[in-house]
Formats: sequence, C-alpha cells, structure tokens
Amino acid sequence: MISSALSFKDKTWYKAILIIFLWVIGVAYLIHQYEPGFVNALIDVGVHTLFLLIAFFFLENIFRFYTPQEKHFLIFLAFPLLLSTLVFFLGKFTVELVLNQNKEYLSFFKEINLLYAFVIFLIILGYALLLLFHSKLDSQIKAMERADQMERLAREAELYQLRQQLQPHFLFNSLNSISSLVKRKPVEAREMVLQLSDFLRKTIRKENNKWIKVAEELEYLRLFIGIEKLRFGHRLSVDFISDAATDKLVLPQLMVQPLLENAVKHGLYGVLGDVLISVGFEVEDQYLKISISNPYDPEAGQATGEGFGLKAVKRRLFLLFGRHDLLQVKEGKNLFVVELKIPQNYDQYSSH
Amino acid sequence: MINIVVIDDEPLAAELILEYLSDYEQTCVLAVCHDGFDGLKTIKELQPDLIFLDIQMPKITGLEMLELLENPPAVIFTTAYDEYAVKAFDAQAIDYLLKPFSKERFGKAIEKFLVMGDNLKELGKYNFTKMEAPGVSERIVLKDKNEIKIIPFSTIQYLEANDDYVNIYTSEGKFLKNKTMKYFEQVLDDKAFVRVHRSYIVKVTEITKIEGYEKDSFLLILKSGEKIPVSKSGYPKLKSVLGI
Repeated sequence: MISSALSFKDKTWYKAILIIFLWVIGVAYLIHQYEPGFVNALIDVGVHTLFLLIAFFFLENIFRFYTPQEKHFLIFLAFPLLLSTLVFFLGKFTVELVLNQNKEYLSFFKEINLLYAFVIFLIILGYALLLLFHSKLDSQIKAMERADQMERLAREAELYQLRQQLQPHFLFNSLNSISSLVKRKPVEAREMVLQLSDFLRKTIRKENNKWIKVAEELEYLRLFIGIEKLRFGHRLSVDFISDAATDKLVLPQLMVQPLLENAVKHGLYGVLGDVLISVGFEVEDQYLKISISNPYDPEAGQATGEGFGLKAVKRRLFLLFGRHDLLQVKEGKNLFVVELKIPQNYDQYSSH
Repeated sequence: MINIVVIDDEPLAAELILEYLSDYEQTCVLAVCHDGFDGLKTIKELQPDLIFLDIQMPKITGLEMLELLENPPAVIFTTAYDEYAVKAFDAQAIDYLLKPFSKERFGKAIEKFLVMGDNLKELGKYNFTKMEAPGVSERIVLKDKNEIKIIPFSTIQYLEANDDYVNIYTSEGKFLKNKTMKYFEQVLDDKAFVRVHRSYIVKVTEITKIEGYEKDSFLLILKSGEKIPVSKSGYPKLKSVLGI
C-alpha cells in the first residue's frame, strides 16, 4: 500500500504526503497542549512518524511474501510486536539525542513512554490488519478471475470439441461409411445412422461444468468407439476396465473422450496391423485414476495437429483444480499412456 | 481396359469405390490395399494405370507413399480432409474426391482420367517428388536400400545438396532424398535450422563451435565432428538465429 501510494503514476503521492503532514501537525498540536513547545513536539512526532513509515514498509514486504493464515494468529501478532518494539526504542534513542538540551521535554517524554509504546503498537497492528484484509481481497479477486477464465476456456473447449467431431475426420468419414453401406447392407447403414445421431446428440447436450458418474461416461465412450469400430473394426479393439467401485465415482464431462479420440487416431495412424486401446478406471486414494494407452512407434515422426487435445485437457484440469500434476504422459517402448487423475474430494459445485 | 488399384485404410470406403466402379465395364480392379506400404508394393508389382488413394493412412500418408514411387500412376485422391486438396493438385493429381462423394462426382473424375490421363503420363507429368508445397507432417519418408525409413525432422543433424538430391545426415548415418534444398528450407523450422551455405542446412543445436578460417569466411564444427563451411550470405543468417 505504501509502495503503491508512493508510485509517481497518479495523485496518491500528493495525498499520502498531505495525510502524513496533517498527521504530524495534528499530533504535535495535541502534545503541545500537555507540554508547551510546539517545535519540540513537532520534532518528536516527526521522528516517530519516520520510523513508523519505515516499519510499514517492512511489514508490507514481509506480508507480500508470507501471508499468515488465520490459525497462525500468534505469528501474525509477532511481526507488529517486534516492529513496534524497534520503532519505540529507535524513536526514544533519536528523540533523546536530538532534544538532549531540553530537560523539560525529556522528562515529559519519559512520563508518557508507556503510552507511546502502546500507541505505536496499535498503529502498526492496525496497519498489519489492513494489509491482511487487502491481501485476502486480492486473492478473492484472483480466484474470481480464474473462475471467469475457466468458464471461457470451457466454452472454447466445447466449441473445439464440436468442431472436432463435426469436421472431416470424424463426421465425413462416418457419412462416407454410411454411404458405402446403404446399398449393400441397408440394415447396418441404418444402425450406423442411429449410432451417429445418438453420439452427436449426447455431445451437443453436454455441459462442460457438469460432473457425471463414470458409468455414464463409459456409455458415451462406448458409443463413440462403436462408430469407430464400424469404420476400423478389422483393426481396432478397445478394452474398458472398470468395476462397481469406480462406476460410482465422478468426473467432469468431455475430459476423457478427447484423450480417447487421440489414442484411437494415433493408434490407427501410428502403427500397422491391429490396434488395442485400453481405457482403465481405478480408485487411487482420493482420486479417480483413468489411464488410456495406445500402441505407437516412437521412431516415426509425429503427425502435426496433435497434442492439442492433450494440451486442452491439461489446461482445463488446471482451471478446475489449480494443479498441473493431474495429467501424466508416459511414453513407453511401444505404448503411449496418458494418465488422468480426478480428485474426488473436490467440491465440484464451488466453481460455478 | 483401365487397370486400377484402390488404396484406403477403411474397408467400407474401399468397398464404396468398388461399388461405384462396378458400373464401368472398361475398368478392372487389380487389388485393394489398406496402407501405404502395401500400396507401394502392389503398385510396383501390378503397374496399374490409375489408383484411388486415401491420404490419412497408417504409418505413412498417401502423399508420402507417392513420393517414394519412381513412375507413379495417375492418381485420384479420396479424402475427407480438404486441407490436403491444394497439395493434391500440386501433386498433379487427376482429381480429388471429398468424402462422402456421389456417384456423379465419381463419374466426373473417371471421365477426367479418360480425357487427360494417358496424355499426362506420356508427358511425364506425374512427378510427385517435385512437390514444393510445405508439408503438413514433421518428417521425411524415404527409401533406404529396400527399406522405407521415416525420419522425424527433429533427428536431422544437417543437410547437404547433392545434385537433384539432398543428403540427410542423422545420428544413424546418411540418407538420400529426391527433394531440393529450397524445399527443405521452406518446411524446416527456421528457428532450428539455418541455411548457412548454398549446399548446407544445419541444425542450430548441433553446432559446437564457429571458427574463422580465412578473412570473412567461417567453419562450423558440429557435435559429430563434421566441418561445415559458412558462406558470406549464410553468416548473417546464422548470427541472427543464434542471437549474436
């Protein structure tokens, strides 16, 4: 606060000077009422104010790097106590040095020493409380900004998701498959139309901020894989591994599907022959752990445009949980594994 | 008779082409392949007049497969990605069909082949190695002896001009690719690779030392111990990339 007040950018600089000036005059006048000698009082107050300002500066810098939690109340008290002791003794020493000719004032000064110490402590404590309040407010604003950004990114992810599924790669190829089936295998063609509609409807209806049960997510993933299998059934097989315990756990929507789509794409285009993808759901401490693995060839160069899905999911995880460690990628010899951890004790409704 | 090979990794997509072709009596489908490697072998063996080629396929793309053919046949691309379309035309394809395509649209492509196909082949127009359009993939696919080798850009140490070819040096050794230096200058990341000489493109992180060896001329010492000359025009480029 002091530092921001002392910035030359705006008028606060003049305001701060004015307030300090009025303060010094005011207090000096007050002391003058008890012990005549305005100049002496002025010097006394001036010296103490200077030390107080220095103490403010220190306090602010301490709190910038370390904001005490409410439960550490004693630590919070310790800083002002220490600083006020310092200010008191430095002030006392300086005043006695400067006014050493003025016996009358010094004896008055000695009388009210205790009161001085108390007032200094109160002022510094007040300032510390002000700083604490300010930093709380600051972090609240930051949390709000994060939530805001999260909402925007979720919307973007949703759009990206839609674009992904409604664009060439998936939709046009699926339509081409239907076109191929229509004449020769009309029953299968109709089946695929229905599956595709089901999947698209579910995708469009998804809300990014909603959490769903693993069982529900599995249903959606199976729908997606069903369509891919009509196109690549001769090569593609997908294992879903889950149990009754994991079925009840929850996860944010549209988190696993982009990863699975990535795995399918890189499996099918990265290697020749059969592609086995496995999607495992596990309970691990307070987390739902989801691992998705696909075969790949580490030697071959990567096709471009990839990794975006991975990046988007990583970003969303950070915005949801404020953590960077929830998505891990493990590149094995021939297996590419993505591990996703969803905290289960997280209050899923707090973010919106 | 027009001899045809269909290359598509999705069986249903290939079957559709077969279905459409069944109405053209003058065509004969020799084979259906489901990836570029199989396609390459089949084309060499059967020498078809025309191929239907998907682009996104396992391991190597249809375009990469074409680059490996010495005398490629006429090509009609079939793909759902229209971002490839411009490239396909650069590759002097007869036509490209965007999936899903109608029978009429398919018929037009066949007609186009009948009108211009044979002429083009005799004129030697099907030279897919001359494609200069920047690639979408970050790698080079080439033939080394009888093997197909995929070299990610990230593993390249330096490139050296060699007539109509380029020598590619990686930690595994030297490979030959029938592309131009200009092509590589375009497709390689210009923050990671510098053309320090008319005949050399060097990966910046491979450089260990720059030595002056005559007035105004310099030599690069690479990690592998190789020495690469730097030309007068190459030196400022190198300096700006290195930030010195």
